[in-house]
Amino acid sequence: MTLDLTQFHGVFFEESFEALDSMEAALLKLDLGAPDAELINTVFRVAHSIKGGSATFGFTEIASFTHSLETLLDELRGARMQVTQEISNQLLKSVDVMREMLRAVQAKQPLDVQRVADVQFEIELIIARKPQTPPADAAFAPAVPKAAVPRWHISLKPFPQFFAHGNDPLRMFEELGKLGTLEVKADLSALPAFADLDPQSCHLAWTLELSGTSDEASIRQVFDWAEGDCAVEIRGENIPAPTPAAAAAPQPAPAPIATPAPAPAEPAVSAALTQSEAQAVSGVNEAGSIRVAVEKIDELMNTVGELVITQSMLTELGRTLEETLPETLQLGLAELERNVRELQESVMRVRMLPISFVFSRFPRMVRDLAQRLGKQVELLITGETTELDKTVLEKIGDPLVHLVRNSIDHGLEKPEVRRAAGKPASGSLRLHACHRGGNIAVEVSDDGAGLNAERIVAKARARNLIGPQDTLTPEQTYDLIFAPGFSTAEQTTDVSGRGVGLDVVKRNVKELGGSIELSSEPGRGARFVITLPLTLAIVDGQSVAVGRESYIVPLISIIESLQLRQGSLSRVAGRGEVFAFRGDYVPVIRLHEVFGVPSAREGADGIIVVVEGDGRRAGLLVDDLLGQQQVVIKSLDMNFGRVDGVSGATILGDGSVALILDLPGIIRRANARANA
Amino acid sequence: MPKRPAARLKPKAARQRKPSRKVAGALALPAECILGQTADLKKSLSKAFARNPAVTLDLRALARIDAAALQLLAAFVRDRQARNRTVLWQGVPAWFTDAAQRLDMAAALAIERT
Repeated sequence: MTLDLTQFHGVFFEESFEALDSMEAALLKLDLGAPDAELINTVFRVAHSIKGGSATFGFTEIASFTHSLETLLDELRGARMQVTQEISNQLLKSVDVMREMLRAVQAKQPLDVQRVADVQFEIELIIARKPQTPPADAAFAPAVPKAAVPRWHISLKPFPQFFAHGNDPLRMFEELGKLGTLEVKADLSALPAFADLDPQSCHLAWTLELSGTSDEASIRQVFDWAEGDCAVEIRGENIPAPTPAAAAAPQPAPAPIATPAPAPAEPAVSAALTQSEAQAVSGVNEAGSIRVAVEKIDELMNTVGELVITQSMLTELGRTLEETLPETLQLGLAELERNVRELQESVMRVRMLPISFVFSRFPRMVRDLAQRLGKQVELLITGETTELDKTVLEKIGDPLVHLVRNSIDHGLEKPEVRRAAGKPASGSLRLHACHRGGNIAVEVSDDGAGLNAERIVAKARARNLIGPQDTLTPEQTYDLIFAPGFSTAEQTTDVSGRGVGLDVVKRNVKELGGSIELSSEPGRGARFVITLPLTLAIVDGQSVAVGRESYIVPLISIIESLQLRQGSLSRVAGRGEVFAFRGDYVPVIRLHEVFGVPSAREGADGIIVVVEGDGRRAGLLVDDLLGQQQVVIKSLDMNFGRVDGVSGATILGDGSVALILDLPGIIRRANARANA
Repeated sequence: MPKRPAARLKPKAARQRKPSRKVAGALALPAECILGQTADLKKSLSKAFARNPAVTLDLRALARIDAAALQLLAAFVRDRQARNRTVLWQGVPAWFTDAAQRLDMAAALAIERT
């Protein structure tokens, strides 16, 4: 039987991507002058773990690249090299390359071998240029008597699953060898007869003697990857007592491995462990989180959705039979309703993730963009713990990237311009998230030049977006920048200015059922506020009747609903049937015609629901308004097939199915019919 | 100063190289002898164990090995030695000897640096 290592790939990729995020965050915090040793250790640990994992799974290119990176980090960790701007940039570039490599390997796509080789070459070049003089403290350190050389006795007793979990002592001992002179003694006494040997179980043990000046934390770090797969005992001999300063400094986290309590004579690990370190030692994560596949949560969501529908049906039945129903049954139904709602909310919360998952990409992006554009930008992130549905979270990233790029490129001025305007040289860019009602508001604001209303109006006139005599409110003026292809940038850069972006931002936000607002003050900055629903699994809808069918119109798209009066519909050549609405004409869409169902009111009486979709308004002609309710969305794509103009379906309290309207699709469909 | 590589991340072609000729009673180890392949390797070794009084382990194609595979080979060598059967090594690369020595398993594998 061959062990299928591919079953571990998913976890490896997931953990590696998360580790790269933390590596990137640590690199962005590195102070070039006096880097925090723990930050460098964090970065080193990530590179080391990814190297170990990649080598285990046979991703040799990633292992080779991370090996070079690890060598550079080891130089930094040992203070044999200083963190310079060049090295900081190179490390960040390496994070990008590692991400690209992992993505390519994950998707079974070919690697960009030349790019990898180039960046690896640059890393090696930096290492090769390292000053060859020994560190100052070593040069002036008094000679240590031979007998006093620090010596570490290490006992490694792997558990049977040691190999199967990707641990290879060959790599571990290679790492230990870098820390000093290593002597290894293998213990093969537990090795069974060849015929009885399970080749995937580990039956070996080792005792090691390491002479050198390394500390216990560095040794433990080598066994990081073997967490829970072995017992490691480390005992020091001739270990110099830590200096007061070193003792006060935070110690690197000991590796979370099964380690017996040290004997009293052994060197103390650290008097004051941080909480995370203590957890690491005990191997217990008090936060208690587990990884669950999204599909499982979706399945649970779906089942709960079904339960909500069943409960609604029972409640409906209860109402119908109210007179004859015993009180206990009525109470039971009320309790069922309450419990089902709570269950639904709990399951919804499982899908909620903090917006920091999206915000975390911006420190790096802002740093790189600011460097490229010669600007100084201070990024302030607040409310990053605000939670929203995973699906919304995945879709909000790109619009936010557009807004942040726009702010840095067009909003924030260069330092000299800012100084001349009496502002601090460094511009401020703020990302903020908070819950507002049943929605989430995400704000991107800057203290830059703000929007130039005159220039926007001039451009809009030049492009015939508005008439020469039109006067606009500030809101209407700012709304113009969301028009497709609209840009007031004098120069197009590769960052922004082509006028492609803000219209896409608006469209994406609308597609998520959200809205975007913009306010600005000349010379003081601009502020975009995106409001989004917390989830896409439930929609607030208006249920409308057309003939004997019910449809759900998302409430967020409804502007107004009006009783149709005699003569309020007219026909305009080339535009079909229109409806006079607040000084404007909106095209009328007879919903029964769109879906080919008989209408109960074949005449001019009925109700017009004025809606907006994709920036266009339309009046939906329906027979009746039935009521507003929250509905659980069932995917038509998955259960039936894609239908233009329908975003999903739901099951109503009486058990009937109602289609949920996709208004941009309905408007497109109606236009296509009108033009046919 | 390191030499600029053109695109050096494709060592696999070299690894796939097969031994140039077969030796009688020889078992050629594949290019990769790592955990995932140990079950197959055990099967091959078992056959060799059963049939031949002397087995030659041919390492000329071997490009990568891990401790799990070395453990298996050590058990194989030890059991053969216990039955007075010979294990010969052919085409042992220096890196293999280094790996065995790093784990202090060179003696168990009856392979010492020459």
